[in-house]
Parts: sequence; structure tokens; C-alpha cells
Amino acid sequence: MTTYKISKDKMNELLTSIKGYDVYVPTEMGDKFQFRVMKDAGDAKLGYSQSAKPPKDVIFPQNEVLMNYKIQPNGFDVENSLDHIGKFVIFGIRNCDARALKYLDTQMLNGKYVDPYYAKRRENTTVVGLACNSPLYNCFCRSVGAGPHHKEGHDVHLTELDDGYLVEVITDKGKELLANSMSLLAGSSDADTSKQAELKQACEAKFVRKIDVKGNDKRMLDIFESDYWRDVSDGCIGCGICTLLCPTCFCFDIQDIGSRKEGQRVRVWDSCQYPEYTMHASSHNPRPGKKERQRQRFFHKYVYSYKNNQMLGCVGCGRCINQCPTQIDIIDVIEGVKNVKEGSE
Amino acid sequence: MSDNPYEPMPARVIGVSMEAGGIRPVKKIQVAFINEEDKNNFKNVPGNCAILSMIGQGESMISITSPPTEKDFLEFAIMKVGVVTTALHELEVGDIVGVRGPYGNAFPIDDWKGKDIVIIGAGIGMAPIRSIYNYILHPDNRKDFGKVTLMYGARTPNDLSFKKELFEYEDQADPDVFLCIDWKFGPNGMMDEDAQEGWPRINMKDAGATVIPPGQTRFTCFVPQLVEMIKPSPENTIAITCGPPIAIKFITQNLSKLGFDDEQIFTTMENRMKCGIGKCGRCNIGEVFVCVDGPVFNYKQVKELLPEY
Repeated sequence: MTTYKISKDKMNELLTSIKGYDVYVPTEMGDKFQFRVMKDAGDAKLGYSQSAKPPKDVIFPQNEVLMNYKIQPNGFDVENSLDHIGKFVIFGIRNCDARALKYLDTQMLNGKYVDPYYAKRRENTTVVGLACNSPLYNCFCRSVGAGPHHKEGHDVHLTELDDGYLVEVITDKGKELLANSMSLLAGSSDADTSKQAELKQACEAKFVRKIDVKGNDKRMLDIFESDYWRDVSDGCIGCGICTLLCPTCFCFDIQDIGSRKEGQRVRVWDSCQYPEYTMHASSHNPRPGKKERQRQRFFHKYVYSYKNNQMLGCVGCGRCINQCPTQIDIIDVIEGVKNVKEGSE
Repeated sequence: MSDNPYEPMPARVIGVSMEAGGIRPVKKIQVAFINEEDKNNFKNVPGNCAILSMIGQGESMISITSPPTEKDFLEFAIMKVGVVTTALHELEVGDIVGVRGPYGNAFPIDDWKGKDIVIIGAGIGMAPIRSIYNYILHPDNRKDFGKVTLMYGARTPNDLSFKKELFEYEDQADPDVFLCIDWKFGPNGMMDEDAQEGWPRINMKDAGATVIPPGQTRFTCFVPQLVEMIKPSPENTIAITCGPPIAIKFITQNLSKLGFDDEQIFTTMENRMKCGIGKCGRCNIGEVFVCVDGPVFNYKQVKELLPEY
């Protein structure tokens, strides 16, 4: 890892010097922030708190055409969209959202099969992280194995200092990204590094909420059939926003558009909060109610993911809490498990 | 074959047969790969599923109902219930359909050599386990297994799939075949009468106490009652069952009562699936993805799963 520094007034120049990539930056949209392809370096609002939607959709788009095809007399004529995937930069991603990409890797790249669309987009994406200096009220990344200055999943890591940004180049991909911008970077001093440590400490002290995950998976399994899950999902209206805005949720549907002769196969985000998601053709549904569907969300993130990949499926960004219209709060739900009497119904 | 697991391989429809009527009709579709390479690479074993695709309509995970002893084609029994299956029902001989797979684990048939086999199907649930009996009954494999018993039931005679071959088996000395159709329902519930001529009712209150007339193979009863009445011996026997979840539950209970150990009972738990390769999320039972870790489980494994299926 090599560490540099860039002054704040040169940041726009650095952004402009990145060529050959779609550069996604946090931009302002009303009173929220949204990652969008940069048209002008002035669009980038690096002082943002958290984007309304995590930038996971750069790598795992909400709608993605997998292939176009036509029926021919002796088979299909397939045009695979894999061949048209460009190169991307996610510039200014927060640690929670970058860590979520590491989680998505376990799902999409591990196991018997590799998802080729995810793999190619992931390979083609360079991740520039931006340390978080002021968490939101519902942020709890420190409780789930990360922290506001974590660099996991970053190719380049930025920390905003008073007079510039500390630039840590972590991977070869990061090095390649900045190859044309080296003249904008200066060396960093020990003072900068100690300032970074100071900022980290100050930020960590600002966290309000936390979850204690130790031993939690066992406790959850013990009360799998408890009415606790009905009680905590009571207010759920099944809108699915907790999953659609979640940086680690990966569930999808595959649908076709077209005629019997030619068509498009499209992958679209789906949600475990919708009844149709698991409903059999016979109309039998293994998860017939919101109790079972919300329970699936909590268990997938806090039990199954850890069992399968030794990584929690929650990065503590707090979006599902902030955006739930009926105030279902994953921190309260997971913490509340401790107070459920075993075997009580 | 493409190395993209989402890309379907083209196959041509070479046979279509109507298997069951009613509001949810079942058709059996026979397809052959168009490319020799795809045919050679596609190595299915009983228990596997494949994803069929209809261009512009979508994909469906369907179990492969033909045994691997059929080298030249694959067969799928498809109930017409949704957009894709409706499109599949419109296929005619000569049409092209997409196939990807095979997916999932397998019935451990090799471990069953030398044992008696009992196959119990309910409704469309016979489709995934049909590949087993047709594999075992194939002249090349028959000597490797003991007695084979098939039990199968559906709502009405018209709803029985694979009638043609099952009626032929019924007339042969091997295998033992027992068929049943559901009780009729009246205003006061289940009616204690023959649902149809030639399908005599069993003892409704106590299936096990039914006196079976010699040579009688067709009955009015539910499939779990058929098991209770026929009383297959658990001695050196493997039982395989598939059907609606509620039927699997009671069939398994009745097998346990007859003395079958959990590891002697197999089933296939086909949840709704989309990707077939463990990515899209929906088929999980706890941490298990049915499409890659299943769909075949023995009853001991089923009991270890979280109760959500």
C-alpha cells in the first residue's frame, strides 16, 4: 500500500482525469444522495452522509438484460450481454457498502457455480472508498465486524482531512486507476496519518446504537418457531423496501420480454418479502405470511449467511431502519432475541 | 455448450402426450438436444431437474421424469398452471425449447442395490420419482434390485399421469402396482363410497384393517391410506415418496409407523426456483439451497432442516 495526499481543490481534476470508465459518484437528489454516473466533476458531493440506495447496482443492476435471442430453424441465435459490459468506478463508497460487495462475492462467486454477469462487472469495477467521519443515528457497522474507516473491499481508500484527502492505494486495480493522475498527488506526512487515526477514533465515539451478535445465531435458532417473529413483523406491510435498499440483498427473478420468436431474458431484483417469491405452482407457500417472510430476512442475515460463508449478511448501514414505513428496527429485533424466554410461545 | 450457466441449450420437441386432464392438465414433453455436444455433456441422474425455457415467456424448473437409461431424449411432465407452463403446453412436435441443467443432487440409487424398493407418488409428485422406477425396471438394471412396489394416487382416474405405462405394469407380474383415487366429497365431507366403478373403497376409518380382494390393485382412498393398507415391509427396503407437502407428511408418518427408519425414506423437496444454480435466493430451507444442496433428502435430513417447507 502506498499513501499519498491530494488537496481538496485538486479533487475535481482527479475525477476528470479518470478516463475509460463510467465513474459513479455520490450526487445530490433533493434532500438525498444518489450514486450516478459523473457528467461533471462538480456533481460529486464527497461530503455526503449516506446514499439513499447503495451503489451495489453498479455491479448488480436492478434490471439487467442477460441475453437477447431469436429462434432459428436449428436452434437459438443468442446475443449475450456479457460481451458488452464496460468498466466502472464507484468513487466515494462508504465502508459499509464496500463491505457489502465482499459479502455479495461470497454469494455470487462462491459455490458450485459462478454468476458470470456479476463476476464480469465485479472484475471491471474499481472501488474507491471514502472513510466515514460522522455516522448517522442508526449506523451500527461497528457491531457487525466492520467500522467507519475499514478498508475491506477497497482498491483505493480516501480519508477526508482538514486540508485535503489522504489517498491510500491498496490494490493493483487502484494503482491502474490513478496511473494518469499521479501528478496531482503529493506525499503524505506522519501528521496526516495521525490525523486520520484521530478522526477514526472521534468517529467511533459517535456511534449511538449497537448490536451484540455473540452467540446470537444459536439463540435465534432456539426460538425459530416462537411467536416473537410474529410480534416483530406485525407492522410489516410487505413493501420490501428493507430488502430493495439493502446493500447485501441479492435475490433476483429472471423474466422474459418478447414474443415466441425472439426475446430478452432479464434479471430483476426480487424480494423475500413478497408472497409470490416462494409460492409454488400449486399455490402452496413455504413462507405464507409476513411472520415467515420477515423471519427469513433476519435469519438469512444473522444465521444462514454466517453458517454458509462465515460472514454476517448485514453490514450495519441502517437503511432498512431509516426507510421502513412501519418502523421495523433490525437492531431492536436482533437485540430483543435475548429477552425471549426459550420455548415460550 | 456455453460456459454461461444461464444460457439455454436448444432442444427439439420429438413427442407430446396428454397425461392428465382436468383444470390442471399434465402433458409429457419429450425433447432431444439439437447439438450433439449438448447431448453428450448433459448427464442426468434420477432426482435431477432442468430448467426449460420458452423464448419470450420465461423459464421453469421441471424435474426430469425420464431415466438416464434413455440416452436420446429427456422427458418432462408439465402441469399447466402458469405463463411458462401454458406456453410449454402449446408446444408441438418439431418446436424448439431451451434446456439448461441438469441441476441438483441425486437419489443414491447405487446404494440401494440388493434392496426392495417402494415408490409412492401423489399427483404430479410421481414425475420426479418416475425416473427411478423406470431406471430400476430397465432390463440392464432390474437384477440389481429386489422387489419393486409402485403406489400412486391422484384425484380421479383422469388425473393419474403416466397411465399408459402404469396400466401396463399393473398387468405384469413385476412390479407390484397399486393405484388409488381420492374419496369423493359431498356436503357432509368425505363420502364413504366407491369414487368410481372399478375403484372399490377401502376401510375408511381404519385403512390397515381393509380386506384386500385377491388381485385388486385399484382403490378409492388417499395415498397415505394406501400405504397403511398395503403395509410394505421395512425389511431391507428403501421407500421414495413425492407429492404435495401435506401428502409427503402423512405418507412419511405412515411409513414410520410401519417401522421404516428415517434413513430408509427419501423424498424430493422441490421449492420454487428461478436460477437453479444457488444464486437467486428463493428455494432455501434455512441455510440449505434446495436447487444445489437438494432436492433429494432422506427423512433424517428433512428432520434436521428448519421447519419451513
